[in-house]
Amino acid sequence: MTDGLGPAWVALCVALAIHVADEALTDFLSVYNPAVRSIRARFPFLPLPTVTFRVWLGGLIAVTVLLFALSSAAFRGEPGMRPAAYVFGLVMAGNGLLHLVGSVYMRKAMPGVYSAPLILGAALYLLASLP
Amino acid sequence: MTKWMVTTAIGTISVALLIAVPALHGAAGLLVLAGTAVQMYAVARM
Repeated sequence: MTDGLGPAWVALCVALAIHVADEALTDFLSVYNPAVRSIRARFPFLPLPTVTFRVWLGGLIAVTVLLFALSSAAFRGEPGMRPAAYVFGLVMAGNGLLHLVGSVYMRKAMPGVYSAPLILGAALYLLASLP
Repeated sequence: MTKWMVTTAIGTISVALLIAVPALHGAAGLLVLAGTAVQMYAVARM
């Protein structure tokens, strides 16, 4: 039932790892933190946090390692992996699209746009692999 | 120069993914192709 989930899950984990490296190398927080401050100034009720580079990168590495660790469950076709794959695929597809739309809107390459097509493709692959 | 090397590398991987994965041989693939085109446009404007 979930034969194709394993390779697609690993592909999206690899794409996420590349994307995190891309964002770290292109100073993603120099865009994210000012954007969050601007949004909070306009909508104070939104609980959006600003983060330091160490906390941000540490958190993303931890999440990426955890997602890689779930690969064996994806290959086994564990029932819980189906909703997890939906969430992972939808969030990452949205992530990739946001980088692309943001770059067009700002008329310059935003941090993370290098790997955006890759993470978008891998996310669609995972979503398409779901039964 | 570096920006184009990175863009070409990612673009190549994206296209390889498109060709290798049958699930991307449709509308989803077109979306990825469009995304790659947008990425190259954004990098070109840097």
